[in-house]
Amino acid sequence: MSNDKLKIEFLKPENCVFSFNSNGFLVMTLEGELKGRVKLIRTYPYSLTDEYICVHDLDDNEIGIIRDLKELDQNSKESAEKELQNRYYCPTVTAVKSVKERMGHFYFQTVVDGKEKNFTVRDITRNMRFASDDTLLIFDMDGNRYIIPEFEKIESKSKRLLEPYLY
Amino acid sequence: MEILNKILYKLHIKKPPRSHKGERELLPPPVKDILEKENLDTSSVIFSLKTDMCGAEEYGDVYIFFDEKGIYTAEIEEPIKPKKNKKKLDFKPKLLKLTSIPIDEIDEVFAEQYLATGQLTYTCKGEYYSLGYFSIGLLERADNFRRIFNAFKQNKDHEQYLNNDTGNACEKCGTPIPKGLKYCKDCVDKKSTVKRLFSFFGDVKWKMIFMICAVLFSSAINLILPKFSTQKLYDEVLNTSNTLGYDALLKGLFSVVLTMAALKITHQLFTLFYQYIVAGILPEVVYGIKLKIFKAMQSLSVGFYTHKQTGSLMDRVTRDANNIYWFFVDGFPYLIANAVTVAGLIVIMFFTSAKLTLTILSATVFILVLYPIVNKKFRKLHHRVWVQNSRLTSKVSDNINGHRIIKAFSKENDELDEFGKISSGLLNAEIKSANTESTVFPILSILIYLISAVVLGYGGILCIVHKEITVGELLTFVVYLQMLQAPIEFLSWVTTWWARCVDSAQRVFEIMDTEPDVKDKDNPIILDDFKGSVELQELQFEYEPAHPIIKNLSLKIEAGEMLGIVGKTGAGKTTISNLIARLYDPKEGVVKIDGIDVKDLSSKQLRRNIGIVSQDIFLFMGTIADNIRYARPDATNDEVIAAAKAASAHSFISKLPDGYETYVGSGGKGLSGGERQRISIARTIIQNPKILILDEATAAMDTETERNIQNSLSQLKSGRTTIAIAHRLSTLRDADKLAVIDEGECIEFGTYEELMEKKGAYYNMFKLQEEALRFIGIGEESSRETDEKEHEHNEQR
Repeated sequence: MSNDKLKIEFLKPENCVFSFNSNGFLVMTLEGELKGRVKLIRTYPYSLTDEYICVHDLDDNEIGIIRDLKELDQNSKESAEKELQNRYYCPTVTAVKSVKERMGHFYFQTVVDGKEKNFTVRDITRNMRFASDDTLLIFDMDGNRYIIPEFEKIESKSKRLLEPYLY
Repeated sequence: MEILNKILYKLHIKKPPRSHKGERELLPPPVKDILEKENLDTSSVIFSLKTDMCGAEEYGDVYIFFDEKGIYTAEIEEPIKPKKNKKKLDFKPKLLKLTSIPIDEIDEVFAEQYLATGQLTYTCKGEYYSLGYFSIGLLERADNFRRIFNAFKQNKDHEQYLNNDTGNACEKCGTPIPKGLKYCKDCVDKKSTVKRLFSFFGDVKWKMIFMICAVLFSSAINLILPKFSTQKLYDEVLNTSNTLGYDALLKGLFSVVLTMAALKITHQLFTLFYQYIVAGILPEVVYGIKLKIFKAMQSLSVGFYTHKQTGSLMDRVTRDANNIYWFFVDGFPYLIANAVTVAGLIVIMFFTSAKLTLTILSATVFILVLYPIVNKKFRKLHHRVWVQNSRLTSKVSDNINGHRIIKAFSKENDELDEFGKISSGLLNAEIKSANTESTVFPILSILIYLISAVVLGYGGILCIVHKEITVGELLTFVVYLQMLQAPIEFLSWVTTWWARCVDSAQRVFEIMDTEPDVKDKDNPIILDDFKGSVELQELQFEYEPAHPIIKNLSLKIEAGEMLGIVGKTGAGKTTISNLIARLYDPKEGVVKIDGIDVKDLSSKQLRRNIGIVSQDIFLFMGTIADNIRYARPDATNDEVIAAAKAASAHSFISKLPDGYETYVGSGGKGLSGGERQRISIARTIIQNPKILILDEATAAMDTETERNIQNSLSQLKSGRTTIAIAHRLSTLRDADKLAVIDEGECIEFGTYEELMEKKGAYYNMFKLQEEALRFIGIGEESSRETDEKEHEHNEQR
């Protein structure tokens, strides 16, 4: 198969306008037609956060894909970025103060987004794993998700506490 | 007050429970108080949800609750003193923000799921509004809020969902307990786990008592051995100041040697005795543990298996049970022996020379402090090796399973490179571990040797200068010192081993304590005459919260009829069959068999009368005949062959060298997808169910085999209710009724003629498939048949 056949039809950036309505929800206008509330989906959520963004309607039907948010006009770009930031917000662990194991449960004392946060992880080798080369994900036993975006840059004590459990 | 709280906390006296059985607390009393100060009547609150976010990216405590007048959101500041395990004793909230939305302005509430958070929204005249955000861990509770409010708003029975709330609180501390668990992770203490662990040994308690007695005797003899050998030999025989004659010395020597031999033999006999008992007890106990885990796993619902990874469950049956086994085989007897030895040694040494004993004890404290530090370091290093080893094993397993793909894409070298990288990771971890071991252990040995030398030197002074002890006593001390080293080393790391054993036990108990989602009522109905009519009433179902798979689905088929279910992939067709067989319970609505809710029926009778031929074919380890007989082990050989013939499987089975005794399943003969499916159909045929569910039963087969099986199934269908799920509409030619499912809803229902006449979704699908088949040249026959059928139908009209 030649590569020509693998080309995707992207949404034309000049035809897409994103904005927030008065209730704070993202709405889209495509080729002058109001599409109403839409969902934005990152297809590469860790490596390409602003590229290959899928636009879905509320029934999860795909409207199209935006190649790069940079191609949108400034207001639309800012609105889309804000929406993605809300939708993909993940509590960031900035420091790990202690990891204690008791009865197969691992009790984490951490700093999440500047505030102290304690959570419990069960089955640690499965619930703490790298999503990409340097992005570490931690899932607690309630199903919450935490992220360490640049594991190599986290302070050495935190790294030392987590390293023994990393797969 | 704060000091008192601190004391109570330190004494492990927990605050009173937040909720009691039968009384659900909707809002905590301090929150109620501040809301009532705002003139809000909290007594009529129907349901409340505490969320942990006050914005899209901000943590904060918000109560969302509703009553007959509307929905309220109250942002509260709860001053919590940071404590190690989140326990708060003092609770004085402050109201930051209170908003209310009148019920008339709310049409419907929605729970939306994002990556790590979610949002409760509501609509008013088609417009969306936000109610608040929550962490993803609260999704199930938020979805329950949505369900309860919407049912209340639509004047439906909302009370049935109130008990679905996952907020079952621990009776001791009030912490919510995860669904399916009986205990609270904070309040389950090691004592209770240990008690339960030892309860496994209840049946063999006398053997255990004998074993412990034997261990005690064996250790006691070991303790007195140096006293009667070394000390006696040096003080009474080899002592140069002895004035006894040659004969008396020889007699003394002979007596010492005899005593030594007798004590050693008795010690060994007791050791043999306890090892013999251990070898007898433990396999029996571990067999019991494995059987209990397996039994618990059999009683669990399908949902449990879909949420847990197979590897993790396998670990529990094998690794965790073995962890318990090895501790009790290798650890427990030696723990008793070593503890008795250490205690006994200290007592004997103290009575021999208190000064020297105190010197040794101070040195022992140093070793006791040093060993755990070294052990901790090694545990981390060993864990790193284990992790790297697991990566390597996964890579090898991946390669073996995907070998055909690797070769087809010519990726052998890339795979080799990746394997090399992982392998070098393991190499580095092992080198680091080995290097540390080879450095630390010699240093430790030198330290212990130095301590022995100091003790010997000090003992020499006490013996020669102060004449406080004899040479024999000094040498006995040296022997005791050497005897002390191994037990202390053992005791310093046995705690880690014990912790691992308790962890494993905890995981094992978790399975045993998990309540099945689907379980029979106390006195289930057993039908005298199981006919097989099926009715689905306003069914709603979701595997994950806020992701409905079945939405308000209703349909009915009489006993003996055939229902064809068609629809796109992921439309929810298989879920319908799972709900009919009660592998899951619906979130809302009822599944009725012969007019009775399946929840009231005996699930054993229900499943004996429902046969499923699924698209996921699974054959158990064993012969083909064993697999066909699975549902009815007493089926005769004649019946097995007859069932195989009916499923068009006989022809290929008889050509196999081992015939019906061909070994299949894991490690057995590789059969094609079609062959395996035909065996699974034969398995269902022999079950002779009243309701037959064919879930894409013939999807993996060529047209001719499919036709043969269809003919066999047509005979099988007579006299029983058949629900056939299929993509290929040609397989549903004989259906009495057809249902078209789209996104969990039944969009069309009726006979073939009715649906073709309607020219709706079914008609479009039929025409599309007919054209596709005609295009590839295999549908001519089928289209001819359709034309004939249509012609016949028109003539009838």
